[in-house]
Amino acid sequence: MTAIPKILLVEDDKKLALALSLRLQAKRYDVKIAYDAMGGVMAASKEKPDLVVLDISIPAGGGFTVAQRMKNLAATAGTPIIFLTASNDPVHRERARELGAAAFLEKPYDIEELLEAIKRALARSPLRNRPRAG
Amino acid sequence: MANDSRRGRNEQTSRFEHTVSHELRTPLTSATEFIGILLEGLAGPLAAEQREYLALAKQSCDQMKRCLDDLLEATRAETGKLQVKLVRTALDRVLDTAMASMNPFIAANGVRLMRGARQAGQVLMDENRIMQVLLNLLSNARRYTPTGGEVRIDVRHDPNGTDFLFVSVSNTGPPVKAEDLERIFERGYQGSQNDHSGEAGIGLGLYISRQIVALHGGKIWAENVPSLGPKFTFSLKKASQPSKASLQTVFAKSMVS
Repeated sequence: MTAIPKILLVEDDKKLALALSLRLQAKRYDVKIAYDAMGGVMAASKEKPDLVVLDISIPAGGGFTVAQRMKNLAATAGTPIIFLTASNDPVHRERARELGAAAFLEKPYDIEELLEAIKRALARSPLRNRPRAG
Repeated sequence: MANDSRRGRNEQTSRFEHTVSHELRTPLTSATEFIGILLEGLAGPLAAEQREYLALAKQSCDQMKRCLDDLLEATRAETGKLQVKLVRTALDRVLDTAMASMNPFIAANGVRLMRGARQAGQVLMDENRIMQVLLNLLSNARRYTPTGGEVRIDVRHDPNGTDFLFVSVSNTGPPVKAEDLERIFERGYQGSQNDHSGEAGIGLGLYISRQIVALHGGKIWAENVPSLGPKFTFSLKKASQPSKASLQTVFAKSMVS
């Protein structure tokens, strides 16, 4: 039985979060959403997603806080992270790179590019074995 | 003292730009995304008319994105954050690429894209940035050339004998008004009377092009060729002969004016 990849989406704009989750669900991913940094950290440690799509500018600490906390937790240290930003700031890009980003996209991104980056990042990192209900 | 207040103003402009850009980019992304979701049938099948209107909405979103990108560039240019990396580059190859990119759009308007005699040789340039300048000039030329006309790229040595090459983009069409020849390079200036494309812009293309060319140590100017039409020329410094076939690399950062 193939496991369905679980993606955690951390994005504070609820409309965009909805649009993205529609896209991801259409591609048969299991999607969880958090709307701020604290929610993101909690969801990452609870859900142990196979990949995180993370907006940098989110309330309650910012996206880099989430990424850093994930790195510090054994269970999430190896989880690929795709960063999204609204700001083309080269400093952000550099910081994402330092945190081992799987990809870095600027809004408005090309959805095909994002989906491709997700596919590549998931292919590179093995799915975790998790007991599935039913 | 003057430097501090200039720096302060630039920081303020940067922060403002950052806020505006950020506040616009996310809703623009969600609008683009929902249109894409509908167009891909993810919310059910579409009637032809629905598809058509959504495609128009998507075009508007793409236009907004271009405006945002231009705004960001212009602010970078103005606040001293625009940078170029000058590297020895074959000018011909860059012109070939620019022409290949723009040819379909220009031809679609029934306009010919031509090239003067090829000029071998290397110049010092930041290829991405000069490509930006070329695409801007070619795209403007396309907008102001009536069907059946011609857009042309020429390269020549500076007739005054300096070590600069002059690259010109000219088109057949109505001349630029004499009083506008300088003003068109100003930030936010828009000319629309003879525009054959119906596409508005926010008037930043030539402003940014001028900043880029200045960072290359060159100049850009416009003139009218009698009986033909407007001609835009910019200058690029020739790369000197290499002593050890090594790269001449110069970083130039835009100066706060």
